[in-house]
Amino acid sequence: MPGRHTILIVEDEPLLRFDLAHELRMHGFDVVEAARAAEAIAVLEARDLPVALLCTDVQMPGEMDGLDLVRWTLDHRPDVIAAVTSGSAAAIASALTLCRSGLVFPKPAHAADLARAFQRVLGEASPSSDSSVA
Amino acid sequence: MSKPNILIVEADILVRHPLAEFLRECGYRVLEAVDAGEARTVLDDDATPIDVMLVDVGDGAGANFELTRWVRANRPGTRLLLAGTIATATREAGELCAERPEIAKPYDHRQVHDQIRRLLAARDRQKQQDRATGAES
Repeated sequence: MPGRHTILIVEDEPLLRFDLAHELRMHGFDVVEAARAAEAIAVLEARDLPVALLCTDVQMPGEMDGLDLVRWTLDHRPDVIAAVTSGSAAAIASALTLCRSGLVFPKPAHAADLARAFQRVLGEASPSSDSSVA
Repeated sequence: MSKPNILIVEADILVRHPLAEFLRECGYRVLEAVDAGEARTVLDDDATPIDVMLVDVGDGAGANFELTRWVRANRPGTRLLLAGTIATATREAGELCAERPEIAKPYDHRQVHDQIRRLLAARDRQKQQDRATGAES
């Protein structure tokens, strides 16, 4: 949707994913919901959707965890802002060294807090001009 | 009247997301599940009673097909919309019986929307009938 930023969220717990997606939509974002790192990569590689920000949990089923996904994103899609959530203090510490954005949220995290933080960060940038939504 | 809840069970995010967004624009509240396990988690949550579940029964492992059986047995309020390919229907014809896929893949978004509307309308008619034959107030 033109004028709205797109956020790609990656979370393997469906109810948490749904709650976060809902909160972000209420705050005016378009949201793409991924359950695994591989799904997020499929979206980022397709480049159909103008993803402005990636918000990923760390522990997920599959070969890549959220930190692997952030590293992949830094290498292949440096235009995308990376944010991390995790219930593990060790993962949070690793994320802080990776995420230039500083958007690292220990779990349990309030979806509204994430939404406000993303609004602050993305409010400084205008939505991507290649906004042809699939 | 609150928005109907639609649950989409689809393993391919590049298929699932555009369909979910289309249905949100049509006015539904759409929940997304990548597989039968996630769908069960959503179906077990009382906070989000599912009005229609769209599920691809073409998955080789048959988990989604088992899911539809579970829903028929345990969630009478949830209408099913089965999706699949012609090959699926042929292969599963014996087992599927009344469960033949009604929606072909790749999805035609408008066709999906029409089928959902049809299912919800039928359910609303059923509710009215149940009320008419039910308690006298």
